[in-house]
Amino acid sequence: MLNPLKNSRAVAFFGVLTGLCLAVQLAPRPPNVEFTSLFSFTVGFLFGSFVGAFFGSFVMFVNGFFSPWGFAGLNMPFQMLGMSVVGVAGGLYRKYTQKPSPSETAVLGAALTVFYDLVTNLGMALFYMIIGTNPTLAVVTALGYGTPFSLIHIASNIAVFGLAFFPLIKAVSQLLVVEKIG
Amino acid sequence: MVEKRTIVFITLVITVWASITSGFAAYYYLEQARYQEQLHNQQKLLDTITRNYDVSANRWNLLSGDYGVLLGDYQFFSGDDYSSLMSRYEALLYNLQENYTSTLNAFPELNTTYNALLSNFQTLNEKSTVTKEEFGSLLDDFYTLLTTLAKKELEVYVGELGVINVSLCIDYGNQTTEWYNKTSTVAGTTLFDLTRKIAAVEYSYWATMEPGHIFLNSINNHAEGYWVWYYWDETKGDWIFGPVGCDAWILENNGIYKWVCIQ
Repeated sequence: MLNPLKNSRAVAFFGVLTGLCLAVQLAPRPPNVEFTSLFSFTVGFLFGSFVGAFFGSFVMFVNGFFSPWGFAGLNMPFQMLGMSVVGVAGGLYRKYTQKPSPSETAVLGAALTVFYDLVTNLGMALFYMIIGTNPTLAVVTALGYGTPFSLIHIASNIAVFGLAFFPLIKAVSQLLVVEKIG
Repeated sequence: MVEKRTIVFITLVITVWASITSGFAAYYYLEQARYQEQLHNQQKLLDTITRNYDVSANRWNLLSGDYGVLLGDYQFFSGDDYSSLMSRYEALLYNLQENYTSTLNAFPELNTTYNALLSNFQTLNEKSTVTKEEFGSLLDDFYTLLTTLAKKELEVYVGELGVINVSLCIDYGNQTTEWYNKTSTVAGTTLFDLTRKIAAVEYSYWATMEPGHIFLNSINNHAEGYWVWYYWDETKGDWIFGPVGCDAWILENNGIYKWVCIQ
């Protein structure tokens, strides 16, 4: 496989996907309903874990400045870490599966969302600790109060990964850039 | 034989389920702790209000009792010179000031009323004779002030129970209008209290104006004209001219009020 990060068309493709992620993030939508996880997973699936991780962390880096919920601040590294793991998971899934199925991707989407929310909630816990909350209480508060949002996130990503992953793979695979470097 | 990948995915499903249920357990634990704390605070507040109410009721009973005795003596007084009752009136006035110091300090319009009453008393006290009408007028003014202070004190206690949101418009009459939307304040706040809270005001005290004695001379140093106030009537869909002094108008939740400077 060619290194897609050295291919200008691939880089342009990532730029378009990043823009698409941000456009979705900025569009009016229920909280925690997003497509960035799906795109990061898909990029990892198509181009490998390293590129998936790079794409995921890059999107979250840019999103940290443009999110309608405000500047991510201290939570940004945690968001980048969480999303890069989603990209890595996409690459590993391609490597270790022979027969990918929608039900599997839906389960993976749910598990990765749980992991992502756990990591970002720990970022919130760190913020609570910095402002003087007891560490245990900070973690319990961040995880507890993050749960209703996490539930929306998991439910939406089950649907997104289960329903949109394969049509997306099919559409992206038809792109010339993927054919040349994939 | 179950495939390894099936086991992996079942494990993932269980992990997701376990995470969600643990998260919800933590969420409900935190919510319960929060509600318990709120309940505890509300109970403490209610206890405080009950205690304050008892103190206030006791204060009212003592002062109104003293007033009642003096009023009885006044009504059955046989002479023409009532100056012999003046020392008892002075004691009554002193007790009033002692018992309602915090309320008098918190509400300048009531403090002004008290000082006006004290001044009237001192003027009368310097005279050699005091007529029935003069002493009766002093007693009436005292009772009015006593009831106003007692009412105000209870309003302050009740106000601690809840917060109301009101909107206030200040129209300077020169195309400049300022809106203070959804301003939070305690229940029982008068329009004068709110205006003082959000703007710099200068006012004058009119003893003969009832109810409410305050007339605003300027708001935020704008004194080119005279200030009148209106409230928004939802049913009529129109601004209604303020029928009383601004210090006697108690604000309603979600009420809309307006000050207008008329040139």
